[in-house]
Amino acid sequence: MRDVLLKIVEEAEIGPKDFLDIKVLTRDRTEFLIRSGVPEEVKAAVEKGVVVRALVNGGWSHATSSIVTVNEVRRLVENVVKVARTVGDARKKKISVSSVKGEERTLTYPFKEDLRSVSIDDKLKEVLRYENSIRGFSPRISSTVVKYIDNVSTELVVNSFGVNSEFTFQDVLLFSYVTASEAGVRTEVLDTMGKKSGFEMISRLDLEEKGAQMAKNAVELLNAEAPPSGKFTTVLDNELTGVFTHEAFGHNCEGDAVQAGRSIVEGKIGEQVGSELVSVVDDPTLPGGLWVLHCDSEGTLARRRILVEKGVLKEFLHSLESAAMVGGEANGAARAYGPFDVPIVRMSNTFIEAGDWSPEEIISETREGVYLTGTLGGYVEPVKGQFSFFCQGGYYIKNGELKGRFRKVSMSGLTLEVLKNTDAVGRDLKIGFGNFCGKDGQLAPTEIGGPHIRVKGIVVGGM
Amino acid sequence: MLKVAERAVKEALRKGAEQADAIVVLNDYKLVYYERNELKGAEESRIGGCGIRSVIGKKYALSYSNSLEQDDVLRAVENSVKLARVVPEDGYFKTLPSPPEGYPRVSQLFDKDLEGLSLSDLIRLGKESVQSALEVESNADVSCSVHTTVFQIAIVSSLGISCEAKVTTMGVSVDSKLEVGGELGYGWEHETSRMLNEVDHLKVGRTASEKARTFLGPKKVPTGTMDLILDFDAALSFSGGILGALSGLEVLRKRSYLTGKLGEAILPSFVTIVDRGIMDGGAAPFDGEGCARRNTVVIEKGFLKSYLHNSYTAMAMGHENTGNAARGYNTRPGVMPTRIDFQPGDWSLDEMMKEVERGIYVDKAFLIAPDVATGEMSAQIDDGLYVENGEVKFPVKQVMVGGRWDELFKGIKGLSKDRRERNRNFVPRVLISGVKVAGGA
Repeated sequence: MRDVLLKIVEEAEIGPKDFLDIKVLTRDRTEFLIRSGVPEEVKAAVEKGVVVRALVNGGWSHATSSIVTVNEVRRLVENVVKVARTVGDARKKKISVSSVKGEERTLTYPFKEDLRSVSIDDKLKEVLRYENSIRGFSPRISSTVVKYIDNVSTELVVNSFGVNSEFTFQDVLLFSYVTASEAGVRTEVLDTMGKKSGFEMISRLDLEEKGAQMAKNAVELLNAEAPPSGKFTTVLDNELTGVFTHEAFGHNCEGDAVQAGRSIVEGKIGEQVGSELVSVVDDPTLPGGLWVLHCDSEGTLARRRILVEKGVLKEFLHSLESAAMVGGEANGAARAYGPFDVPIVRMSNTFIEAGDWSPEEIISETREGVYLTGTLGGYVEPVKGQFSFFCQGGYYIKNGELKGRFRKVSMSGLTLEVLKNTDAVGRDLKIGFGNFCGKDGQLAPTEIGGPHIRVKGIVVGGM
Repeated sequence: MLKVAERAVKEALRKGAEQADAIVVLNDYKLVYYERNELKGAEESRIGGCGIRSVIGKKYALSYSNSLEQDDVLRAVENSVKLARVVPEDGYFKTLPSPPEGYPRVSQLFDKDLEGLSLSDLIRLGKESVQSALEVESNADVSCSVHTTVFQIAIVSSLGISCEAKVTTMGVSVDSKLEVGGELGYGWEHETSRMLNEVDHLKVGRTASEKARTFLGPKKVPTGTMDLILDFDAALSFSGGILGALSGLEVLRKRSYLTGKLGEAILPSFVTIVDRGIMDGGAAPFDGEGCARRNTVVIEKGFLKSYLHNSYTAMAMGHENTGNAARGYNTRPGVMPTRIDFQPGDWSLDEMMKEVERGIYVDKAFLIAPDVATGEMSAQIDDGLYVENGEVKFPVKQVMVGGRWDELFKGIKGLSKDRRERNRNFVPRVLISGVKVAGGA
């Protein structure tokens, strides 16, 4: 297939300044959704898709299809080149892409326990055992949701710069959500993990211990108070620091958002956008089996990206297009995870770098405030730089000590105010919490994290 | 498409399934988008798939293939039968649904003119929308998207269900961003319809820029208890949230705050809400399992009259199936409201405004409704106006509003007599008093 695709690209009727690429993704997927012990979705799927893009005379077009045959690809290429030309002719401002070195690469990402060698019964048994350890912890656990997904995927990318790559990888995601209730009070705890891995991500975990820990958190929160409301000095745990960094700030550093005029940090490269204590990194090459990428879905080699260094905005995440249009170099951030996904600018593993406070010091040096823990999702209006997240719970801080726990609470604020008002950054860097990030209707797995941080004046409550 | 589904069902039975159903969908999608007042791109896709449910005793499993090639479909059939043997039993599950006696007649689902639109036609419509936004605010930075879909669906089951439909959709969405003297304003407007001649793409553009002007230079508001006037979009989000809590699946799992409330008065006596399954220009006459759609009065004069069901939740709870199965080729049937028909009240907007001592007129807020599981609302207002003594003072920013479902429902003071249609959902404006507001000022 690879050779045929290369030939189709070579034969396409495009000029030397135009661009054409073809991506074919095929994967076998297993998916379980267990709700309160009932396997509601148990699926084994065959997925494949082809995506063709062309940039002709400064205009884009693309087409996708679930029919992956040579004839269909030829038809798509013909259509796409024609429509792109119409778009290009209509545009005054021409779009361009930066070039990428045309290399041939074939790579299988390492895994230990091949997903194909584990039977679907055994996978299901493990996930049911894990779910049972959550539900069985206490009668006060009123419901659970556990979702397991694994994929064995092959991605082929060829383009008119001569990129010709084939990557094979396995990945696993485990998403758990538990609700406890008693006397009209409900609490929720969410836990996510995922990585490029074989089945070892599951088989090497102490699933029962992990399940019991989640359930314990949810049950303990039942005794917590109703949440406070107002403006507080707020300490965020590792996960909330990660959620803030990815959702509220990271999306603003995506080159396509900058290009579209939908970023609050557009034109601010080199400027101080946050406190000197804050450095933000997105690193797809992070060792240790995290969400590692060798190169992106456009064939650009992935590298570590320092978005903010000591409060100064350093660079954006780029695709070939956003690098050419915004300025900067393509840095391997164009990802397309699903079979019908067009490469768009995405984060990988995004975090705030460690500072020099211990988490205990951050609390003990806070006279009055709140300490928020664990995420339950949230909502961001990137163009306004405004966010609101739900937290699983938190504690009051009084005279440097944690006093009194409260349950589910929201925090909201303005992204750049949070970066500027961060006055303590912990040394306890933790990255993980693998989950799907949604953007433009596409899901891509990412990881997030950071140390504990302290921020002055966050609006908490509203419930 | 019916043939692909029939073959999949036949093959599942041959491989050992006791019952089976198959759903086949094919979606032809066209999209053009403008960014910063200029055409940015145009795309087409043709994506479909076949999903198969196999049943063995009280066990069932789903598999799918998103290619309709025979070999891939057969592999998916084989997977589903294999899985149905190994999954645990589901105590609630009894059988796949039987075929209905007939389907209601629904018109205006398919528009040949809309199907015939080429990408060049969409490029022209998008250009006109952008221009109409620029006519209102010549300095605006306008983004716009125009899309069409031609969606085909076929459902076949071993119990005798066999139905198919073809529906069209067109949507126009415009974002307008304005910067005047260092102040920013954003406006968003959209419209969706099944028929080409029902979409006023020029009005969408104009309204987006008008909103950007209205919401220019937002300010923070103080924290306190206030009144909210939910404009149509926000009221749709609010009522959609209530219907979400009526999902038989959520109720069955005891994950809805409205579990156990059937027959109780949960809203003021002037509130009546109908789930309109049968409406010209609405949904296909059958749901995601091939069961007949119908109209269901869910709230009548404040009383909770019915939950919404698919065949599984109806059987599990001993209720009648309301035909609300929502299903893609790759998912098991869920439960979703079809179209919302929220009956109007007798207030004018003027009367509502005069009632407000301190409050927010909410133009846009996603998910401004109690959380289905907890019954607690915590929502961010995206676009709103601060109102004092009946007068608009300034646009707001960074505002969270919240409260418990019972307090919010009790706080509903009135509904407007005028309603707006959004993609065949009909909602009035809603005035709610005593809502907790967390502002940043």
